[in-house]
Amino acid sequence: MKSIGVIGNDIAAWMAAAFFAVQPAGQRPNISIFTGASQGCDDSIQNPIPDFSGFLSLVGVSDQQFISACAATPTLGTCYKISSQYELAQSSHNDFYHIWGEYGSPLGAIEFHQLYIRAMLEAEHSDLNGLSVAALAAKNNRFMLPSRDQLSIRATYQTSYSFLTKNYIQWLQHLCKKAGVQEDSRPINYLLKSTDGYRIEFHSGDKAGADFLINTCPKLRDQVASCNSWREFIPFTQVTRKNTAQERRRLVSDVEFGHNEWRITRYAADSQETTTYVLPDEPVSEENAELFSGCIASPRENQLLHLGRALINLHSPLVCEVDLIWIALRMLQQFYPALPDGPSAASEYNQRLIAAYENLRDLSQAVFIQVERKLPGTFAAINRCKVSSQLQHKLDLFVHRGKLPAYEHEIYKRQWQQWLLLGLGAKPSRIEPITFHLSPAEMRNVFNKIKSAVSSEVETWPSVK
Amino acid sequence: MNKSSIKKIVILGGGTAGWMTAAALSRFVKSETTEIVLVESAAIGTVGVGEATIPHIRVFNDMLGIDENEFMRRTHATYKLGIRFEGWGGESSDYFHPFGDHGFPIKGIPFHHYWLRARQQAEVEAFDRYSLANVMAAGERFIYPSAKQDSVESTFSYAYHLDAGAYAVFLRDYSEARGVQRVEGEVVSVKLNQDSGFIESLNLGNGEIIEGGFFIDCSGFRARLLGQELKVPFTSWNRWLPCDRAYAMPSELIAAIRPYTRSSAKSAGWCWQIPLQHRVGNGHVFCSSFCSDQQAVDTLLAHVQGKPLADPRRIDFEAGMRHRAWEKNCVAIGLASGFLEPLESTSIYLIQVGIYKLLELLPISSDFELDAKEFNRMVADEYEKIRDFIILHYHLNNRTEGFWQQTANMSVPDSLQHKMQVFKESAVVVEYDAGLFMPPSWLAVYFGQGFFPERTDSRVQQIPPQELLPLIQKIPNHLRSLVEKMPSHMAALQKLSAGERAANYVKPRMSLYGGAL
Repeated sequence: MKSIGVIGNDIAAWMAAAFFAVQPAGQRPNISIFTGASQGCDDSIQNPIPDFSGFLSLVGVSDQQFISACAATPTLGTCYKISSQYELAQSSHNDFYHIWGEYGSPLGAIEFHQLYIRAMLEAEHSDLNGLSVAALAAKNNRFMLPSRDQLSIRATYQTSYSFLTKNYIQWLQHLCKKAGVQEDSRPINYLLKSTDGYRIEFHSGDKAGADFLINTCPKLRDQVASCNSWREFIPFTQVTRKNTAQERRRLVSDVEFGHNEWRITRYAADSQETTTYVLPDEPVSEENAELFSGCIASPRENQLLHLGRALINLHSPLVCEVDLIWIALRMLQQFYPALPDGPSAASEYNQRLIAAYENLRDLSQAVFIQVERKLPGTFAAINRCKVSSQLQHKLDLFVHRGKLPAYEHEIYKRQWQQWLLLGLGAKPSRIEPITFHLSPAEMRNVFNKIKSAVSSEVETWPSVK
Repeated sequence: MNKSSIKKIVILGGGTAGWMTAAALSRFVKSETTEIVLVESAAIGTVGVGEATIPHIRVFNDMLGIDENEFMRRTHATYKLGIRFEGWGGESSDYFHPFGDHGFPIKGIPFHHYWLRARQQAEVEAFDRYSLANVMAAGERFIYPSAKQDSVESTFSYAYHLDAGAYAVFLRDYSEARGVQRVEGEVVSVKLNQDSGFIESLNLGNGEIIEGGFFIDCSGFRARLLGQELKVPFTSWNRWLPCDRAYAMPSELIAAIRPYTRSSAKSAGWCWQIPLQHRVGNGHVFCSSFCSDQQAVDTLLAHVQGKPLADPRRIDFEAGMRHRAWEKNCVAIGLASGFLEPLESTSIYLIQVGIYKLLELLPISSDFELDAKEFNRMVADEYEKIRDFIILHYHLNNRTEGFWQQTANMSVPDSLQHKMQVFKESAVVVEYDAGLFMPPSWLAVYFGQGFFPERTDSRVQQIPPQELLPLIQKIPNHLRSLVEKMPSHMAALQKLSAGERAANYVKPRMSLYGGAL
């Protein structure tokens, strides 16, 4: 490939430009970014899952450099406020801290979550947050970096970052400029498909193209491809996003549930942002279908790749925009375009990416389903939604025996999924017989040991207040 | 809450599958609440040729708390670093499928792209020379893998060659010591519940009736319960895997014990050679449409190096699997659930898969539907992925014999066709999250049998030769110099008696919270 063109001016466009700019090559292709098709950065906050560190490694930036360049602050996961009313959610009594890591520890072949379920069923309920160093630390606003020593209690969790989108884009722009990415800001009117590939047409009537094009603008996407709405699975639309000065320092994002709506608050260094999603009261017309979650059917078509908001829109408490972009780019690292590569490689890329996104959609839907089960009436409409056969099997098996099936291309680890469902109040009806290898006294002993070790450890951690 | 609704589990069959299952259940199912009975008949022989293993067996033994030294002594085991394939792909082809990586990724791009690029620019060594396991195997050396992730010595793994019959006896002792009850007898009839169709009891030839709540069919190819009684149909894969017969025969050990299995292609199949501490296991797998029994025996005898210790024993089989490995209150494990020829030593692994999934989904209520659905989904997925990999060995060849021409020209399953096509177009190995064979295995066979992609990663294409070649050319020499300092495989086996144990022993995770209970 001699030339690569990125269309857009938002987070996806600049991540894509940076992605291509740092790739090893004897002779680097010319990389142009055509920014005249979208507005550019907004004032949102990103809080990606720990996989994001792969992007930093790829672009060759250390954590310290990234923290300093983007004013990034550490994060440990998400706090779910299990209450059907926002007012009640203000009390921390029902908070569940879902962290990227372990709660408790397996005992040989006994998975710890099975032991936790047994304790629940035997009414020996234990506060989940006290069984994980990261969860308890998040609750108490204390932080330490994870240890690389696998035999340390601090090796039981992963961390990530929270940062302002605009800081991040500025940093990516700097990175791209240094790597020689050319910026072209002429306004763009069209993305055109011709016999020899895709071209963009500027407002002036001039045309431009590249050996490989990445489009991040939904409006241009609509000129050449269509998006599959997921409104039948996740019927929420985004209604408001509000940024304010930071009221408190948090190591997690907060997810709260209200009647027919939910909201997520993300925290950056000195600001916070709350986004609210609702179940619409009235039917939404087809022309406003883009308000719902949805995904393009074929992300890569020959020499054109759709990315970012042109590729997927997912209203989910599990991931942010950066996550969705990095999932697509990380797979592209493996299926790097080698034009003219054949249709099989592109089709494999598309199939894997869509499967990964659909798994995330399903897991997000599982959250809403579980909230409705725990707090009936919160999202009554979710009960009428379509459920994929994979998700149905997953939910059924979990209720049946507290076990989750493993599927290909899941971004969220199975362990994270199990604790997410349990933390949201899922109550499997049975557990594995092997769990009964422990007597009730032994089981209590295990819980006490873990709680005590967790609490002693967290007490030694510095506060981030 | 129901602690365990199954009061009695009956295992039918006492071969490797039966006793592995019994051992695992005796370790993880509480004997106070659940009785475990194994029914076997001395009159019915076991296949007993699953003598080469893959590294996963170590996880199984660890799970049971088995000491490696004792296991190796009792099963006459030797170490195994991979499989050497001779004559596959073509008469003169000779490559090694190692338990480990080839080279290392550079700037996030898999090593094989660099090797392919270097190969376009100059003469480079064969792909398997970039694998430490292969270089060790070629030099007949052995050390335990290092636990240090940044060490070259951490880039390989190992398994064993073992006496499958002795392994079954070893596990029988283990199981009986943990309360498994062994019943000698041959099943003459099976009583099914008239309404549900569930198995209620096994009637033995001596008049004994063995009742149970849950039955595990380890009866081998006969699939006495799942096939004969519950009538679960068998899906044949013989259109892709036409070998249907084998002769097996032990022979005397006459040379140094090699730390690898040998698989040599013959005119209508292939021969195996598996070195144990006290003998060599040999066999000839072939397609009876292309080779008579006499020709097959002659081929085997010509291949055997030491003095035969028994007459060649014939084994008939058909590649394929049962539609469902779990039906009603019966699960089939091992050959009763399906068969794939031992080309990649997957027989014991497939038993393990069945056991793990069963332990994960052991019935906890009388409603088995969801458990069975999940079990069948996972087992079928494992079988089909391994099936594709085995078929690949047969399909990629330019041999001239009729048998090989047929397998080279056959249509392969769509799933395999897709994998090959992606590789051909882009040099990308289609990976999966769950399943056995990872990219190093696929690359070993692709390159070893002469299947090369049309292009490599475009990022590597532009690297000038003066930058790439020195790096690619120095790796094999570096590996050889490392291996020269290692002890021989024979010396490593001799250390067994001195009680040396694996270096990568990992403490239980509970130690993070103040130690095990």
